[in-house]
Amino acid sequence: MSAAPPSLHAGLDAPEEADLYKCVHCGFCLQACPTYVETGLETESPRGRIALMKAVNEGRIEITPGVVRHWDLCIQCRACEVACPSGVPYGRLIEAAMSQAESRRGQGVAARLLSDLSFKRILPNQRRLTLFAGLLRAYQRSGAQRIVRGSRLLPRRLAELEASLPRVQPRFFRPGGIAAPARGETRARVSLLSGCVMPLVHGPEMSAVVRVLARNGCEVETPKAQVCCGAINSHVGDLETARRLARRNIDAFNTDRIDAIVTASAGCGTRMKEYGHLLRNDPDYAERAEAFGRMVKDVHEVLASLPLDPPRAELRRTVTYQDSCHLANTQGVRSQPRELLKSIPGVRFVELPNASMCCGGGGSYTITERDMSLRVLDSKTAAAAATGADVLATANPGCLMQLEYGVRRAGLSMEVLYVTDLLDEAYRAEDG
Amino acid sequence: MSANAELIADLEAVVGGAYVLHEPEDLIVYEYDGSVDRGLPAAVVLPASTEEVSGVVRAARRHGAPIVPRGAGTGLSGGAIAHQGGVVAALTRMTRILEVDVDNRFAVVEPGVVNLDLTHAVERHGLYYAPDPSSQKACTIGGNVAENSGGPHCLAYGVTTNHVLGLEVVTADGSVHWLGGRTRESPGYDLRGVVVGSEGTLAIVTKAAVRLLRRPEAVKTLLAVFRELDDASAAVSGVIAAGIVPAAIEMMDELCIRAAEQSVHAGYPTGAGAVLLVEVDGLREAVDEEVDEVERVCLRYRPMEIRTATDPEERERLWAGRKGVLGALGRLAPNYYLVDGTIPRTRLVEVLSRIREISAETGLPIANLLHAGDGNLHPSVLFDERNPDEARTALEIGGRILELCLEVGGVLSGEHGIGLEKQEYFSLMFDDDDMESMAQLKPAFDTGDAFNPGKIFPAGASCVDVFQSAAVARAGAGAWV
Amino acid sequence: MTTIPGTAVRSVSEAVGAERLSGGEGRVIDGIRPAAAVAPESTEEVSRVLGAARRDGLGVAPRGGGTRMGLGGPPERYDLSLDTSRLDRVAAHNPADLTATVEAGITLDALRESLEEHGQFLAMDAPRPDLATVGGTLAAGAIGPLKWQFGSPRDLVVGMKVVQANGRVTKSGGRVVKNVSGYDMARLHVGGLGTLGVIVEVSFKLTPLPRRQATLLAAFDDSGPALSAGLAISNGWAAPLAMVTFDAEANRRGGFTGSARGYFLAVRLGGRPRTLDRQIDDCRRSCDRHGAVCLEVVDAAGTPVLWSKIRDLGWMDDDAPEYTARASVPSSRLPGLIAGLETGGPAPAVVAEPGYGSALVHWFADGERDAVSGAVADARVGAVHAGGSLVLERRPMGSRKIDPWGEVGGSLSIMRRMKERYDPARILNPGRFVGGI
Ligand SMILES: Cc1cc2nc3c(=O)[nH]c(=O)nc-3n(C[C@H](O)[C@H](O)[C@H](O)COP(=O)(O)OP(=O)(O)OC[C@H]3O[C@@H](n4cnc5c(N)ncnc54)[C@H](O)[C@@H]3O)c2cc1C
Repeated sequence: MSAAPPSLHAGLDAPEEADLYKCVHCGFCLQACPTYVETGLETESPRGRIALMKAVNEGRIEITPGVVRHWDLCIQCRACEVACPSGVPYGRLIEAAMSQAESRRGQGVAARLLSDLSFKRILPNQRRLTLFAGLLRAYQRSGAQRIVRGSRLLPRRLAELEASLPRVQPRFFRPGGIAAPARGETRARVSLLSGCVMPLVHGPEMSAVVRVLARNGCEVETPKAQVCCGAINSHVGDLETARRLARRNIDAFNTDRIDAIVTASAGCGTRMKEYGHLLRNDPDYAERAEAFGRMVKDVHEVLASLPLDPPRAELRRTVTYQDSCHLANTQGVRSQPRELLKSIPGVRFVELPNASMCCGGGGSYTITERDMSLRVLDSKTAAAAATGADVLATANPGCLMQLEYGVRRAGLSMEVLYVTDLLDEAYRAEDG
Repeated sequence: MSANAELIADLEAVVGGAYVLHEPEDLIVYEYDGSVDRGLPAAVVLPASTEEVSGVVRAARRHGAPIVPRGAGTGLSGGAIAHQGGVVAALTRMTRILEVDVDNRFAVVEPGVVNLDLTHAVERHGLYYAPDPSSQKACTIGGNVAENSGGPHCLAYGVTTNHVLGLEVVTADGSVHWLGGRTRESPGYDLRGVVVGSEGTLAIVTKAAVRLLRRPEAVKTLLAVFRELDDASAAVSGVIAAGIVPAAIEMMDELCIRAAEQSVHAGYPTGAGAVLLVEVDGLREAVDEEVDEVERVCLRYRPMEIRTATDPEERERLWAGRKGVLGALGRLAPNYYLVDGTIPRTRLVEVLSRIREISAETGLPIANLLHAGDGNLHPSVLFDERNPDEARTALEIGGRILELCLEVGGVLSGEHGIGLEKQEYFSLMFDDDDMESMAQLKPAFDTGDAFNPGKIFPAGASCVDVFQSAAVARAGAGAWV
Repeated sequence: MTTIPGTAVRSVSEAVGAERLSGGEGRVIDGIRPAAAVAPESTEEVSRVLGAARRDGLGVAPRGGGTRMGLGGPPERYDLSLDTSRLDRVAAHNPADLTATVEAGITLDALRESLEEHGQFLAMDAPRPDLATVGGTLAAGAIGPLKWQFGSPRDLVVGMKVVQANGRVTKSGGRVVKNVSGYDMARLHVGGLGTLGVIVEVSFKLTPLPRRQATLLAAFDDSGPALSAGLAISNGWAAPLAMVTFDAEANRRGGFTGSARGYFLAVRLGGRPRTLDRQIDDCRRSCDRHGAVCLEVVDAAGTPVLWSKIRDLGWMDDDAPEYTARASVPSSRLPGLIAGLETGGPAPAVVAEPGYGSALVHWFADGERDAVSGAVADARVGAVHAGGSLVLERRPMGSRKIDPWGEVGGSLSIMRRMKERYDPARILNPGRFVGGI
């Protein structure tokens, strides 16, 4: 390949050749990809996106806005990784490609400012984020929201966006120290990642997670110095901020005195499990990042492996379950949430056909790629409705918000709940 | 307007702007399929109906542009590659299952329906679509028809052609025809039968009426592990010779076993030189009696171990190694070149040992996985394409294996087709009169050579060496399956 | 074009020698007697004969055992009968591979005997295997009851050698059971009535003989329950080798079973001992549930005898029907089709295949010619209406009232182009195939 033109990728975060050329373009990923299934376009498939990365690498095409467009449309659900027989690490590749795109993005000033503001300044800073959530809560509760919606003054896209905003809960979940002592004999000591958005919009649900862990003999602490895991920044290709956050978390969690770092958010879990790769070129952190990653466990993984002390009260619900991409595809956590649900007396569990197909959530994707996100979502809600379940359970906040919106859009009466919510409900019923 | 711009405008008039792709970044992702070849089309068009296909064909013909039909692009012989430029007509938006007739056990589907999706859609009626290529999660019925695809279970149930009742096609003048019908027999020449396996060179398939089979009452899988490859091969011949036709007989050699062990931990004993997977289905009693007999035959060839499984999960475990093996080969070497050929089932031992010799002589490892029951070989040459000598040798080995298949009375392709990949070998199997007679068929459907021109038949020079170096040059990095 | 009778004789004897020639008597088709008959002894000779015929514009009708010479329309030209019966060798039989390659002129019986020695058979059971040849059977698309399990003979062919109208010998496919190498040309010649070329050699996949066989024979009050029972069996787990219903008229003429009245279902079953017993039980239960009035199991010895009678009904020289038609319809439409046949005009003898969707209908005229041809025309309408087709396999000599093939629809244009390509001089069976091809 001596005469080959030089790669048009640049920098340390470029997709690695060894990863790229594992793809033998067999096409097994196509049907796993939500955007391909919706469009039937090779351009919106994992194989196509990799082909573009290869073409850039081979110097055959520049990273034009057209190229970036196809990468942008990837939800990063990583279902293709599961389908791939050749073991192509797609997640890593698309992140790297996005970072290439990021440095060349010819965005408008306003959009640039907005995304810098939200992704680089608000998200990584819990104080600012809390303030923002407080404002949102005020907007939703003061009646302003009703007035805005009634006025029909917002342009269509903004109105849609506004409609899909999660309802911020009355109580925020605040990290710091021991959140709950173990009930009964201490079976494990865990540190909980409280996350960035989750404690604000789903405070009570976070408390439920803590209660369920404690009920199963876990001492739960939430380190105060922890920050956002960096997943959202990675997705949009801002790996620099992601690395900054990762380093701070590695410093914040004292891994010596605990058995696991627990997350209740799949995207965060995936990000943190892969800190090793993220910081592989950082001599000070590389090794610690690897070790940190190995400590990370999803809450459903932890509960199922304890094993769970099943609730004794009955919950008469018909429940179906939507896999979270970042649990199923990247962490291989598929059976555990289902087992937990089935362990609740009275629950009738029905499998959701194609449950492992993404719901179109994917962090900022719902905002940046609204149309595609909704297409994927509507297919999902229709499938969920067809199961006849009255609860659509999920194990991840991003999915929960997206599915709630989907159910609202479709006008269904189905409830969308965390697996841990249902467990908590059953435990509380048993306590009387 | 440039000629190309006019073509694009005409195509857009048929399907709308969103479904005509012509930007460089869009064309690049349509330059490949599952094979080693590449070719940039001038435009990609995605029609959504028969009428649109017909309009696309007419528009492309007005501009004299070749038309390359395309399904999921999993083909392994370059059938969906626009090596002469022109218009790629991708049928991946035509994904509707139009009719499921449970009483008469057939379905009418659009060509973009994915093979496994059809089975999923009819499952609740206890039915399934029998041809099961390993790529069935991705490949389309249209592609299956064009390649006459097979799969592990085609041993007992036959390949695609045995399951297609009728086809709606668009020919080169844009006209629409039904070939065959919805019944088992139709008068006239069996046009349906020649379109199946014609690799997209005769017409574009826009609908297919396919048979559905009923799920069998019982299924049993037998796994037999042998120390020696020759024993396993002999056992296959033994089973066939004993007059048993199981649903599937698959075989893997030692290299495949090693790869499968690394990836899915199938639990094969150490020292295993070959495994056979035999699946028997049908009436419960028939399954029991046949599995007993298969076991008796296998025992004659010194197996290290024999396991059988009936419940679906256990069977799945036995199959796991086989299903994962192709991808897992990537763990043994950066690239593998999979050769597809069929031989008489009585020559397995001999041919596999000759392949072993070729491997020893050239120094490149060759992993053998086989649809052994019907003599369909998939020797996979392991190599590293960054070493040009290895790449060339891998292709040469492919050629030698195909010649070997022909020498023992076999054929060039069992299921992947000739396409671009093997066109220069075609004349080793057929003489000029044979080829001329096949070539005469094309104009009856495709006046003006519009569909997939320059495929199947040798392109001028019939010297294999020329082809090999050309293929090396054509093939992109990593583009080897 | 008319040909001077002497031309045929001269040109063919130049090509292969006069000793291969004989007179055209006994080779009459639709009242037309050819100038000569030739019986080549090799593929090479077939090629030379066709080369000569092409040069001199002779109309040629290939002929195997002569059982199906009445199929198709009247020939446009007919100068030479090309007899393949001397091409009768088994070129290769690879028992352990379950494949065989045979010359086209071998009779089905001769082939059967040779395969049986190895416990195998070719699942192609056209009528009159004593006469019918492999090539003729394939070209005519003749098909027997075993298709229920094994499908059309098309599906058994893995390779074929054909002499084209221009005299060139061409092959396609191979000798192995799985193959995608080039167009599957054999498909065109099976059922193509020799209009695109003369089949000279065929490679087949074979089937092991069932370990044991038996037939369940059930009698019902009328066709409805008999067909329903058949459908139930085809929806059950048993896997019959063949399954037919037949009426009292068919039974009377064919002597299948002793009972004189009723409507019958025959299910041919095979397998190892336990498998066979289970299948008989299953089928028996289905028959009982549908009101069978009488059940009988025909044993291994009786089974082949019974099925050769069923197969040959209508094809015995001493009891030939006026018309024989094969209807093919979606299997759920079969009962309706048969009900129509029972009520419309002179009653035919019907042998039908529930679950497969085909029926062989024989009208033994016994003097009422017009009424019969009306009934045949009605049956065609019925079959087409049910979404299928009806082909006349036999018709009265010279009769042109009813198109033997029926409409084949828009794809006829493709078929015509095909004929133009492969036989531009129209020497092979001109005018006899669909649409006058
Ligand atoms: C990992 C792997 C495993 C495989 N395993 C098997 C196997 O077990 N058995 C097997 O048989 N094959 C196998 N294949 C090969 C391939 O999947 C099949 O050939 C498949 O049928 C191709 O379908 P496709 O939709 O991808 O067609 P494409 O690759 O898109 O096209 C294949 C050919 O079909 C033509 N075509 C597509 N659609 C139409 C249409 N509507 N009308 C007319 N022509 C059309 C194209 O022009 C082309 O010539 C495998 C491939 C891979 C990558």
